[in-house]
This record gives sequence, C-alpha cells and structure tokens, in this order.
Amino acid sequence: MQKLTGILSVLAIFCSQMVLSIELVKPEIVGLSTQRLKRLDTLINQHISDNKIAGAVTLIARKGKIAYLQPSGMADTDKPMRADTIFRIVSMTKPITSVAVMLLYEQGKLLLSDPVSKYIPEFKGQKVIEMLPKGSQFPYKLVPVKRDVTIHDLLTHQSGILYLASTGWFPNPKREQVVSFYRDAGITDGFCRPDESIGDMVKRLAKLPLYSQPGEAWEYGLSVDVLGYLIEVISGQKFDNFVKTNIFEPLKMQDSHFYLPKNKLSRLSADWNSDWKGSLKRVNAPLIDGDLALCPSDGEQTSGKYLSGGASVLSTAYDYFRFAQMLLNQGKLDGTRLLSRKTVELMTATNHIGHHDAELLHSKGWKFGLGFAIQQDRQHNVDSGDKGVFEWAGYYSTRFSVNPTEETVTIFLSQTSPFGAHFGLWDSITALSTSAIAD
Amino acid sequence: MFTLGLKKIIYWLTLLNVGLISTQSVATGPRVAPSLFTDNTEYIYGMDFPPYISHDEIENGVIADIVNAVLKKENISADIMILPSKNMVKYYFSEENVLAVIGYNFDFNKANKTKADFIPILSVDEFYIYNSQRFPEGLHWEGNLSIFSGMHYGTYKGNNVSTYKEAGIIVKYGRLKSLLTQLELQKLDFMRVTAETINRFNENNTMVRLEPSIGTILLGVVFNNQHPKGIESAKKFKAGLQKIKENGLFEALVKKHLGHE
Repeated sequence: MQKLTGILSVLAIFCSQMVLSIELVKPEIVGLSTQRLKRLDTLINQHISDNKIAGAVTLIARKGKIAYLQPSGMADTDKPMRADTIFRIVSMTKPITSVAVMLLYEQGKLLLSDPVSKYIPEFKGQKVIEMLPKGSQFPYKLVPVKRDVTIHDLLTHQSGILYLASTGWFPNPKREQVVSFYRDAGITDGFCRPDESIGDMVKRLAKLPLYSQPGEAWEYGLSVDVLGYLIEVISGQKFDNFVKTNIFEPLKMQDSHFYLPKNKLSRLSADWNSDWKGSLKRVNAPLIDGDLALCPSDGEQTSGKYLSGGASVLSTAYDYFRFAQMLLNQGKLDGTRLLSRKTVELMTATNHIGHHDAELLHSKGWKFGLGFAIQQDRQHNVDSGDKGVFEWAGYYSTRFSVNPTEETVTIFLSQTSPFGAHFGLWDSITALSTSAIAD
Repeated sequence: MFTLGLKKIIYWLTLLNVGLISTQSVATGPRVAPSLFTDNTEYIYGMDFPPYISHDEIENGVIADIVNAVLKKENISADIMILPSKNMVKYYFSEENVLAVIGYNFDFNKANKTKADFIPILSVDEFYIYNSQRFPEGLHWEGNLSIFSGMHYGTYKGNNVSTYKEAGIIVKYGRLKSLLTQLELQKLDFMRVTAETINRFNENNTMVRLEPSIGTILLGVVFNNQHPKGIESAKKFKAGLQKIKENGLFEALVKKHLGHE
C-alpha cells in the first residue's frame, strides 16, 4: 500500500508540475539545506503512516523562489495528493479580504478609522452586552457602544463580534448569551454556506449585541465577513468579483475561487476526521460540534450566494504562495504592484491590538496586524523564527507563515478535522522550515 | 482713518470667519465622536416576521406600514427598528421599558403582561405545511399533534414548543426563510405558517397546506405603560387606527401588501 502511495505520489508530482509548470530551485541556491528540508518529508510521512492525517501539500520558498513543494499522502480515498490539489483554506481567506480592504484604502475610498455605520447604516447605535451579578432579576443588560465599530476594529478583531464556535473555545455565560442571540437571528459562522447573501447576514448581525466594547478586547469572529460585505458596498461590485479582478487575476492565482468551477472539482481534496490516534475517516456529512458546523461538501458547490470574507476561498499551495510572496515583497509580485510598501508595512509590521494578545492560534508574544498574527518576541511557546513573522491558519488545517527577515514563505495545506489537534504539527513545520535556513 | 480701517478689517475678517469656520472646522477641528450626542429617538422594536414585518418587504411590511401611518396621523414621534431576534425585542420591552414593540405571540411573563397594552392590527390564519415531495401520499391533520410524533418541526426561537415536545415531535429552530429552505430540502417535515407566507414563498409549488387552520394569530403593537409616554401613546394609537380604518387607508395598505382585504 505504501509502495503504491509512493508511486502515485511521484506520478502526482510529475503530472501536477506539468500542469502548473512551477519553477523549483535547488534549495542551496536560496540558502536552504536540501538535507534539512527532507526532515519535513519525514515529519509529514510519519503523520500519514500514523493515520493522523491523510495527506498534505507543503511549500517552502525563500527569496521569491520555491525550494520545496511536496504533495504527500492521499487527497481522497482514490486520489493521491498533488501539488495542484485544491483546499478549503477557510480562515486563510481573511488575509485576502484584508488586502482587498487595503486596496480600497489606497484608493482613498475608506479610512481605517471610519465607522462601519458610515457604509452599513445598520451598525449605527449598536449595543454591548453586560452581564449582571448572579441573583439579578434579569441576567444581562445592553449598554450603548462608547464609540462605533470602525474598519480598523474589523481588520484586527477588536469589534466585539464573535464566532458562534467560540463558545466551545472559551465558554462563559456572556459569550453564551451573545451567541444565543446569533442563533435566534440565524447567524452562522459561515463554514456551512447559508442560502443567503452575505449582506443579509451582516445586516442582521449588526442589530445584535456586541460581546465587548469596540477596541476593548481581541475576539476572533465574523468581523472579516462584515468586511466582505463592506467591500461590496464601497466598491459596488460583488465581493468575489472584486477579489477576482483585483487580487486573483493580477497575482495570477488561477486556482483560487469562492466557488470552484466544475472542471476543477476533481482536484478538490476530501476532508478527514482524525482522532489523532490512528483513526482517520473521510468526512461525508456535516461535522457538528456544539456551535461549530463544518460542511466540507460545500466546497463542491459550483455556485451560490454566500461569499464569506472570513472563510469562503478555495485555493492551492502555489496560489497562496503567490499571495504571500506579494506581501513579502511589500506589495509587488512579478512586476505587478498590488499594494504600496507603506501599506504592507502598516498591515504586517505593526501591532494593532495594543496590550491584547492574539493567543487563539499562538501564545503570548503574538499580536495582530491587519489580517494576520504577528510574532513580537522569541521568548514564548510558539516561535516561528523571528520577530515580525506574520501568519494565519484555516479551520480544515491549513497554515501559512511569512518571515520577512529571512525572506521565507512556509505553507502547509491539509484537510483534517478537528482543527485543534494540529497545533503541534504546524509548529513543527515552521520550526523545520526555519531550521532549514543554511546561510 | 486708521481706526476706521482697522474696524473695517475686523468686520470683514469676522464675516469671513463666520463663513469659514463651518467648513474649516470639519477639516481641521477636533474630532468629535458622534456618540457624544444624545439620541432622543423613541424606538418601537419589531420582530422580523416576513412578510408582515421585514426589511425585505416594501415599507418594511404591512404591519410596519400601518403602524407608521397611525404614528404619522397621531403625531407620535417614534421609529420602528426591526430586530432579527424575538428575545431581543422582549428584552427591550421588559428591561428597557421602550415605548412599544410590534409582532405577535410575545409570550410575556406575568410582570410584562401587567405593563403591556396590546392593540391588535391584523388577524391571520395559521396552517401546518409540508413538502409534497417528502410526503407524496400527503399528511392528514385532524387536530391531534400526536400524528406528527417523531417528525421534525421547524419554528422560531422564542416560540413556545412545549406541546410539540410532549407529542414526541423533534423541534428545529431557525428563521422563516431558512426553515422554508429546510422544508424544501426535506430536512424538516412540517412547520406552522400563515396563509400569506405560503402565498409569498411557495415558489416551487411544493408546499402543501393542511386544512383546517390551526388557529389565528393576532399581529399588533404592544405599548408599554411603564414608558413615560406609553399610556398616552396607546390611547392616541387606538384612536388613529380607528381613523385609518374609517377613511379606507387601512384597507388600502392591507391590499397593497397582501393583495386582499
């Protein structure tokens, strides 16, 4: 079986690189060690043979050149992983949406300090929930916002808007109360695509109480979905169309879509449920865990209304490399300038959340920029190699990491649930990627 | 001469300043947060209930349109704010003593009932519906919920479902449109809707309504007698509603939205 997988994998690399014609360089040319990069093969293959994950595509680039692109294992029960396998990148959509917002910022169409209500009036006069002491006649009260939610709040997850799934991550009565309003109002996290437009969802969300005063807490949530709709309002274009014409096409991200075209469905990876102890099953139905609902089969939809700025994009390792490399190049790729150097500096080189920590995927020592977590020091548990490394991840187990100091891009794409089991593997991949630097 | 000249200069500078301050202060003055200004608007909170109360409908639906017509006629100053959560509407009535709320079946507790002055506006019949593709042989409703035992029933969060649960029915919650989609996709077996809902949303003609009607619901406005203007506004609203019924406006609004009287 392992032999067959090996042969299929070799064939897959050959076929996919024929299709993609991706230029790979010898690692040593860009200051990486071939021998050390092989440790990644060992790590990932071990996870595959232990039945923790079915497969993955891993990409390491340095100085703008791809030195390692390795499909491993299976994309589906009958399909080996290929370099051009398409993945549900889910929350790795968020940096793309953030770039889309910054494009409008550079066109003078918005300011980060603008209240969202300037463009989406439903955000005017929002309320914030405050829990009352135990024994009170009523459990909570709603108080007015001290100031309106701004675009900056949305980009940095400081709006007070939650994910429903957060009741599972950080349960508390206040969060439960806010999420119960979300449930009443038919708000979902968007990982299962609802049959409505993003605008319909956002307008309802705006009427519901915030978890915290704008700017007073870092709470990962639906903020970037709001940005997706904001882009529609400001640009006058459908969100997917805006991203396609302003990001995917200029960056030649030919396999990145909100809804896959029919002819690419065969390249979509299956999703797998792993207990991380050797039981690995293909997911054939929605995965429901409390308020978390994942619908891998939604990735097979070729059309639909819902365009989530926080979760809808499907992409490949190569395409996401092009996006990440554009950021690493301070806004430019292959002669095409998407963003100015100063804007990328604003997004990636600055802590935008003050004394809060962005600990959801990382540890203390990680802050948040405009769309990414940013490493602030090297003294905490999660080290991606340098201060200033920026990265984010996706719910089906995808992660990217950009190290501006060493000029590296690391991308790992898998499709394995549950998400929480992957932190160790991800952290090991960034550690091995960093330690492959040999100049 | 000098003194006069100076006075003239001061005069013209003053005039110039008056003209300039309003524009310049916007560009260079202190940033004044809108939140510093008090919002004096009275709100009437409405529960989203298409096609009667909804942002997706013309004039926010027939109930909102009628309420606005009466408010205008009686010079009651209030804006309708439609909320996507029934529990939030109840919160505003119960805890913030807002002027009024609009909707139906509020299921108020005892304390809220004592401060509620309900003014009915429209009475509509409700029916159970099912998807004919799910049940090609049809379902038969004779007034006893037990025939639906084991089936999936869709309703809104905040509605009383105890009788359904007692009858062994599995309750699923959602918004009207999402419930109708689930019924279409055969993920729900039946739900309870008004005749107008069927007329409006039965695009694929798959929804079948079960006769006889389950009953009638009263859509209306509830004034809050704990609000400083609650009692007076309720009185004026009743009078205004009567006036628009007498002058034909009420009938015209119902016809405009629902296509019948």
